Amino acid sequence: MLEVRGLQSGYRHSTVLQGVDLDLADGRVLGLLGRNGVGKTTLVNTLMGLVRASAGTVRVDGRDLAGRRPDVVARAGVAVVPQGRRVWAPLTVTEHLDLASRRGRGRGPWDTGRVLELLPRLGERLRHGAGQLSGGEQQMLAIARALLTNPRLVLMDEPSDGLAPAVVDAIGRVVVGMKAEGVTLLVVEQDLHLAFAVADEIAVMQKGRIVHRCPTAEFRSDSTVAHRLLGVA
Amino acid sequence: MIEWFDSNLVSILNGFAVGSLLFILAVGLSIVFGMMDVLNLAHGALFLVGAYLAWSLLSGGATWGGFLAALGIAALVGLLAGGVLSVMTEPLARRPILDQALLTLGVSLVVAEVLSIVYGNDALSVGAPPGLAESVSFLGRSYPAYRLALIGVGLVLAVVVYVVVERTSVGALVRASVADREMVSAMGIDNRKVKVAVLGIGSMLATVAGVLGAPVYGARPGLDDTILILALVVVVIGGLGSVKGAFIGALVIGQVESLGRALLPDLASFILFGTLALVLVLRPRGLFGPRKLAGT
Repeated sequence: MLEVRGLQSGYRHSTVLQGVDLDLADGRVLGLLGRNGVGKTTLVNTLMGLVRASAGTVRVDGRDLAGRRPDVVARAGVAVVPQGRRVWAPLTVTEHLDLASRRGRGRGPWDTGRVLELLPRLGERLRHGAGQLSGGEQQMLAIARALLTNPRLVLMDEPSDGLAPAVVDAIGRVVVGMKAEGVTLLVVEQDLHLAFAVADEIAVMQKGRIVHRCPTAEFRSDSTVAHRLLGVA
Repeated sequence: MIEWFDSNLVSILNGFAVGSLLFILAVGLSIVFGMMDVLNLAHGALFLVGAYLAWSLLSGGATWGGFLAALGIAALVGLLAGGVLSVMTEPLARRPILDQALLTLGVSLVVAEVLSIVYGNDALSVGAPPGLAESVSFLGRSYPAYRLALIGVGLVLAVVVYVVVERTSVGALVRASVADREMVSAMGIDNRKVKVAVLGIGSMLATVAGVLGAPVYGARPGLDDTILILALVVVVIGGLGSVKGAFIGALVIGQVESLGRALLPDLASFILFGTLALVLVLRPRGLFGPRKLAGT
């Protein structure tokens, strides 16, 4: 469902993505690993239209979305759970859910009731301001917000970032729940345990390109690859 | 204290009247800037358009029909002008804020010059509608009824804007856009349409404020700059994108402007900008501004 070819993008004075090629089939979960600064977040933001692509194609179900605005990408069925959560601090949880449902209502299986079944903790915080929530709750709210657009593909950027291990486990269970519902996921992660727990395949980025890709089990069994590409034992 | 209050009552009431007008003007400016990073420097010119519209319809004699017609036409002109400004600034959306500010400054200069050519350079006075043109007794003092009405209109509008922004789904969209408009766009919502609507309503409030302010300030060249600077001071003090901030900021600046001119006329400008500097030093994001600005 996702086909990326020769994708380049970056910021004013630097090109970060140097020609990314990537395929992701329906219902699959790809864990994207890489050291800091190799372009993982830039890739997510470029796929979502938050950073403008300078070359290449991004096809979702055959439609080229490279260089399109985020709202166009979102309406084509892509959602993002961004790095740092980026929830709207002045809004309550309910207001987040209402705003996120605005476009997605009736376009797929996800509605507020179903999202709160997957993320029951949010149900207890509906009247709270997003700025008052814990980091884990904010992450769950960011996931809920993405799901309520009824996406075909969800891009998650470091969902475990800054969270306690118990909360990371809870986030992992939510991701597995999303996968069970048939959501296609690209998960950028520094936490190998979380990536291994949720991903069907692992891809590794270096210097703005994807340099390695294999099934998760194969990646786990060959520690030399992780050591060589990520600098971990 | 009571004696001081009593002797300065008229200045304090004037401060509230100016504050009411500034709130109507500044709330649109603040939300547009906070939400869309568009610093609309044509806001003062739109106010002036409203003021001249009021003079055009009321110079033959102030009537309620003429006054209400001026308000209606000003609202329409403001909405249209906001739409035009939105379209004009769109190609600059990905460029620095200053580029858009310069564009709107250019628009402002052109509008002010056209108004000057059409209406001349004299200060034109505008009468208040019948029933509000006289002074009434208020707390033992004689005070213009129109200014009291203006305070009331400002308060009602403040409540209406507060309820819309804080309690409705449209308001949630506005607050979300102020907090992080990219994420609003990532929900599938077209920011450009939101921008047209917000700039339209903000500009409408500016032209309507021009009509409402005409019986107080009249219509004259240069009024646009004076009023824009006051509104910008209110926005910076209150914090970008905050209705509460615009309200409190307008009340503070209304009093600073009015009491300052009455008590320390030589230092009035210094007190105004001194207040601004003090708030910026103590709280750079303004009294109620967001921690993180949209688009940053």
